[in-house]
Amino acid sequence: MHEPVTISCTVNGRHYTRAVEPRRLLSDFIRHDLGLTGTHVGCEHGVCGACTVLLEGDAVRSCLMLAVQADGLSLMTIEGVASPDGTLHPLQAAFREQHGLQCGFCTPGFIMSILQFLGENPAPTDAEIREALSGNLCRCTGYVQIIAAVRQAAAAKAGAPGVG
Amino acid sequence: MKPPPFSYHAPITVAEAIDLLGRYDGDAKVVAGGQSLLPLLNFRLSRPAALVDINRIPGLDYIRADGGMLEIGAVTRHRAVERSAVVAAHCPLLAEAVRHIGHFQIRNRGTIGGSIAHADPAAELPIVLTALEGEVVITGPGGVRTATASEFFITLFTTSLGSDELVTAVRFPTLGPGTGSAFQELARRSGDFALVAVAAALALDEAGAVRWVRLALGGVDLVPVRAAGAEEFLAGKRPDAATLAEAAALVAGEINPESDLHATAEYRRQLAAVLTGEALETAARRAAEGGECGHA
Amino acid sequence: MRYIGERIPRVEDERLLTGRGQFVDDIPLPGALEGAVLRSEHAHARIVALDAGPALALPGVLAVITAADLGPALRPFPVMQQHPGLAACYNMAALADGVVRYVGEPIAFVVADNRYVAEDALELITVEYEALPAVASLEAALAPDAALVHAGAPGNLCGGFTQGAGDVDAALAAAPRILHQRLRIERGSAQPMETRAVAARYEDGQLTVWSSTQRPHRLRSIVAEFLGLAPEQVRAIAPDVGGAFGAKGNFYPEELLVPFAAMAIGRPVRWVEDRRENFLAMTQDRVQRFDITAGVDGDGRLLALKVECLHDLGAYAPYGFIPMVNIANHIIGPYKIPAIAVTLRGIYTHCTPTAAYRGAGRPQGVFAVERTMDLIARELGCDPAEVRRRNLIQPGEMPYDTGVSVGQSRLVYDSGDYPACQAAALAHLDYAGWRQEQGRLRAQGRLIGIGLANYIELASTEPFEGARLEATADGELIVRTGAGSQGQGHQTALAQIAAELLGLSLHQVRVEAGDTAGIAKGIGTFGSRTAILVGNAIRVAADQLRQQAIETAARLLWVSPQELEWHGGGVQRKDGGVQLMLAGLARAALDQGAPLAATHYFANPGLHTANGTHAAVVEVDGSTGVVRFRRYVVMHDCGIVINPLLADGQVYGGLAQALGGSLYERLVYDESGQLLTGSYMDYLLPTAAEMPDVELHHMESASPHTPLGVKGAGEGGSLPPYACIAAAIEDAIGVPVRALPLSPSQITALMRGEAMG
Repeated sequence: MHEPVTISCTVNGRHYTRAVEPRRLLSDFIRHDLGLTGTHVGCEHGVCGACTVLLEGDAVRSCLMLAVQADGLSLMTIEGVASPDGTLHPLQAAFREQHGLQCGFCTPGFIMSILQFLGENPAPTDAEIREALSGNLCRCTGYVQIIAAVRQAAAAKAGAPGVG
Repeated sequence: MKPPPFSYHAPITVAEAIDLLGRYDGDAKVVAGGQSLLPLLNFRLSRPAALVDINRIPGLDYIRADGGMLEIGAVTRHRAVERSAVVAAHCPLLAEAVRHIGHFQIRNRGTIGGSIAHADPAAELPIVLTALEGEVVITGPGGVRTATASEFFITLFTTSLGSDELVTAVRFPTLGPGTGSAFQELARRSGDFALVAVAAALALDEAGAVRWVRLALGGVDLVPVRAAGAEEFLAGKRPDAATLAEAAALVAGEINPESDLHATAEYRRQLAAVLTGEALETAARRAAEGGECGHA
Repeated sequence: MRYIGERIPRVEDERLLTGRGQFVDDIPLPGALEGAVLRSEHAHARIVALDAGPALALPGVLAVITAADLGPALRPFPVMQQHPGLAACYNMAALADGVVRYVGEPIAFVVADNRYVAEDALELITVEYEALPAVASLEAALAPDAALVHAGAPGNLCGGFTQGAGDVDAALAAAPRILHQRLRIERGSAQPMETRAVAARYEDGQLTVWSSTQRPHRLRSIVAEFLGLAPEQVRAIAPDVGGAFGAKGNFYPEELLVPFAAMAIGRPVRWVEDRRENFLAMTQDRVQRFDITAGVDGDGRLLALKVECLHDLGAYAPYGFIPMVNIANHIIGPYKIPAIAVTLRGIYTHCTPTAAYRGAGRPQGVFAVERTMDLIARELGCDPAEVRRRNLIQPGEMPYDTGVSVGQSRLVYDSGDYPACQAAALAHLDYAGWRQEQGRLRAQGRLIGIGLANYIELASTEPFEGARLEATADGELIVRTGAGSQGQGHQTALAQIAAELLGLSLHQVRVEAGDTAGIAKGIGTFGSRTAILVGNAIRVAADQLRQQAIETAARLLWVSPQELEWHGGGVQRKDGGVQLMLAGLARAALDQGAPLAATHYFANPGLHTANGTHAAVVEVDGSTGVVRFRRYVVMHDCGIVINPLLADGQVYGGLAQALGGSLYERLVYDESGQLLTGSYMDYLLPTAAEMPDVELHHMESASPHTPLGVKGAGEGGSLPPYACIAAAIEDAIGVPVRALPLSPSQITALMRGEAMG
C-alpha cells in the first residue's frame, strides 16, 4: 500500500483534502502540496525546529510527522498568525521591534513554539524563556534579541488581556 | 533525507495492530509519537515494509493510579505526563524525569510507550522504570504479559518485545510515605540526551536509616543499570554526607561506561558519582521531609 | 530626516515574520523537477565503475548525470583568489572524475519528479570503488609515507607564505625572555539554518539561476563560461538567503549541475541540500595548528613574534589562501610588535574542503596573539590586562603602520582608541571587583576565571562593490547592488544611508540586492564589507543623482542649474521658490529622455580597522567541568554605526557562533575520513539556554577613509570569544588551555592533568 492516501485537514482555518503518499512528511505536505512555504525545513531530524507548526494547538516538528498522521486534525502555520487584515500579532511585532530575526529562516518555527509557550506561561522568567527557546536553533541572532522579543510579547500580553 | 517507501496502516484496535504486526513478521514498525522513528526513516537508517500507526487506537492514552501503581497508556504524550497532577502525586520521580526529555515540542508528540520501546540507554523513562522496578505491559497475539525493566531491555535499542507484540502501557509503583526520590542528569546542552543520568529512590526507617534504596543509571552501559553495590552499601546506614559520598564513589567503580565523541569513560564515571551524590542527597532529604505523597 | 545612527526596525521583517519570505525552495517554479546528488562514501577511492541503469529505470527518474555527460563543463572551477604562494592549487569540479577525495564529493546527479524518488534512485546507482588510503588529519597528511590527496602536491603541501616585518630572528635572539606554545583549533561548520539550494530555468535561450549564494555575479560568470553561454544569457538571483556566514560564498558543484540539468532536460530543476549533505558538502572551517615563539622584555612587552601555522585545507583549495591571509593579518592585532614573522602552510587532507566561515581565519589569528598575551602574563606573573595595555597601539599613533606588507599594499590601521576600548570593557566588567571576588570564591573552592581578548577586524574591501540608484515616477528610489543580504539587513541599513543622504523618507527607498539583472557588476557580501563599499557607492551615486535632478529641474524650469539646490528630498530654487519632489523630477527626467539613475562602483579606499574588546567571567564546576558565564561584556567599535539595533544583532550572532566553536561544536573525522558528527545530534549548535547574558557597548571611531566613517561590523562579534573564553577557563582552572573546542569532559581531563585527546 504505497499508493496515495486521501487525507483531510484544516490549516489556518481552511479545509484541505489531498492525496498523499504515506511516506510524505507533513513538512513537505504543508510546503509543497498546500503551498504554505512559510514553514521551513532545516534539518529533517527534529532538532532545529524550523519546521515547527501547531497541531491541535501544540507545537510539533512537522518533519517528524507524516502527512497521513494529520488526517482529520487541525494545524496552524506561520501564515495563520497575523490578523487577516495583515496586522502583525504582538509576538511578531515584538520580533520586529527587538530585531529578533536576521535571515528569517528559523523565525516561523520560533514564533510557533513561542505561541504555545506564552499561552501556557504568560509571565515567564528569563530562565524559562531560555529553556523554552532551546528547542529552536537560530544561527544568526545569538538569541539575545529573541529573548528580548519574548519578554516584550509577554509584557504586551499582560497589558492587553485578550491579545494573543 | 526523505523516508523510503512503506505501507501505512492506522488500526483502531490493539487486536488489529497486533494482527498487522504479525502479518509483516518483523518487517513492520510501530509508530506512535514518531520522535525517534521519523529521524531514522528520514536518514533511511530504518526501512520497514510498513508502519503501524497506533495513534488512532482509542484507550491507549490515559494516566491512572490505583492499588499502589501508576499506569500510563502507551500513547500518552510526555507532555501530558509532565502536566499531570496524578503523576506528580503518585510518581514524582517520573514527573521530575519527564521534563528532561528533549524539548517541549518533542514532548508534545513523543509518547511514554515509544520512549520505553525505543530503549535508548540514556533516555529518561527507561532509567525511571529501572529505578522504580516498574513493569511494561505488553499485548500480543496470546494476550497480555508484563516485563520488568531487566526483562525488557536487552541491549542498545533492543528489547524483548516480540515482532507481533505491542507495548500498551507502562506501570510505575507508587512509593508511599517515608520514601524520597530524585532524578539528576547532565547533558551537553539543554534538551540533549544525557551524558549520564541517575534516578534514586529510597525509604528511611523511623530511626532515619536507609530501609532500601534503588539507584539506576543511564548513559553508562548498553541498557539502564542498577548500582547494586552502592545500594547494598547504603542499606541500613544513615544517609549523612560522608556515607552518600562513599556510595557515590562505589557507583563510579561498578559501572562500565564507554568513551564517545562527547565524553570519555573516565569522565562518565566521575559524572555518575557526582550525579549519584546529588540524587541521593535530594532523595534522602525528601524522604526525611515526609515522603513521596507529601512533596508533590 | 536623520536615519544614520538610528535604532530602526527592519523593513524586511514583516514579510519574513508572516511566512512570505522567498528562499530558493519557496520560489514557485511550476513543473520543476528535483535533484539529488550521489556522493562519495569514501574519503579516497578510485571509481572503477558506475551503473545508473536501475536508477534510470525507476519511474519518475528523468536523468542521471555523470562526469562523462558533462563534456567541457567537467573541469575544475576557478580558484577564488590567486596567491603567489599557491604552489599546487586544486579546486573541485562539478563531479568527481575517476577519483574521489572526500566523503560527500559529488559523483552523479539524479533528476526526478520529486526529491523522494530522486533519493530512491540514488540507492539504485551502483558504484564500484577501489578504496585508496586516506589522510584525514594534518598529522596524517604530513607523515613521511602519507598518501597524496593530489599527485601534483608532494607532501600534501598546497603551498605557503611568510608575512612579517623586521628581523624576527635577530629580535628573538636579543629578547630577554623567549616563550613557546602550540595552539590548535579543530574543525567547525558554518551551519546556516537554510542549507544550500539552487534552482534553474532555461527558456528561450535565457538561463535563470536562483542560488542561496553570497556571490551571484561570480556564479553568473562561471555558469556562463562553463555552459558555453554569453553572460547576458545568464541571470543569477540570490533571493532571501537563510544565513551564509562565508560558507555560501564558494561556487559549488550543484550551482553548475542544476542549470546543466535544466538545460539538458528542458524543464526547471531545483536542488535543495539536506542537512546530512550540508555537513559533508558545504565548505568547513579550519583545523589550524600554531607554533608560537614570543620574545618579550621583563615588562611583558612583545619584542618579537614568530608563528608557524599549519592550515588544513581539506581535499581542495577553492578559496586559495584567503583564510590563511586573514590569519596572518590578524595575528598582529591591536599590538605594537616590532618584529613579526608568520609562516603559514596549507595542507591537503581527505576531508571536506575548508574555506571561509564568519571571520575566515580572523578568529584564529586573534586566538593566536591573545593566547600569547596570556602566556606572557602567566610566565611573567603579570596581570593579563596590564600586559595587553603595555603592548597596545596608542591613539596618537593612528594611522598606525604595522610595517607588514601584504602583496603590494601595507597594513596600516586607520583609527581607533584601543587603550580606551580595553579600559572601558574592564570598567563595565568591574575587573578589579571580580579579581577580588575570584580570590574570595576560590577560598571556598569555587573556580572563577576572568578572560579578556582584544581584536582588530580588517574588512575585505578588495576589489569594489557597486550601487545603482534609480528614481521612479512614483517617487521611489530603488537601490540596486550585487551584494545581497543573508540576514544582515541590507534592505534597511542601505536604505537608511540613501534616505539620509538624499533627504528622503525611509519608506521611499527600496533596496534590491543580489540580482545580476539589477546591476552590471558585483562581488558579493562577505568580509564585513557592505557598509563600507556599498554605503559609499550609494554616497557617490547619490551625488550624481542629485546633480542629474538639478539639471533636470533646470531644464524644466528654464533656469540655470546654479540657481537650484537639492533640499529635503527634492530640488528647489535657492531663492526659496518652487520645489520639485522626486516623483516629479523622475517623470520630468523620463520625459527629457535622461532617466534619473546613477551607478557607482566604489573601489577599496584603504584598510578599515574595526576593533573591540571582550571580557568574560566564567565559573567552572570543579566536579563536572561545566562552564557557566557569570558576565560577558563586549566593547565594539565599528566606526560610525548605521543602525545600532542591527549592529547589536551582528555582534550577538557572531558571539554565539564563536561560543559554539569554543565549547560545543566540533567536526570529528575518523582515521579513514568518515565524518562522525554529521547531524545535529552530534554537532552541537548553541541554543538560547547556552548563550550568556551579554552587555554590549559601542564606541565610534570613525574611519577617516570615507565621509561615512563606517567600518566593518559583520564579523567582529565572532573574533575574540574563542580567545576570551579560553583565557577565562584557563584562569579558572589554573591549567593552560591550548586547544578548542573544550567539552566538560575535556576540561575535566585538563583539571586532572591529562593531555587532551
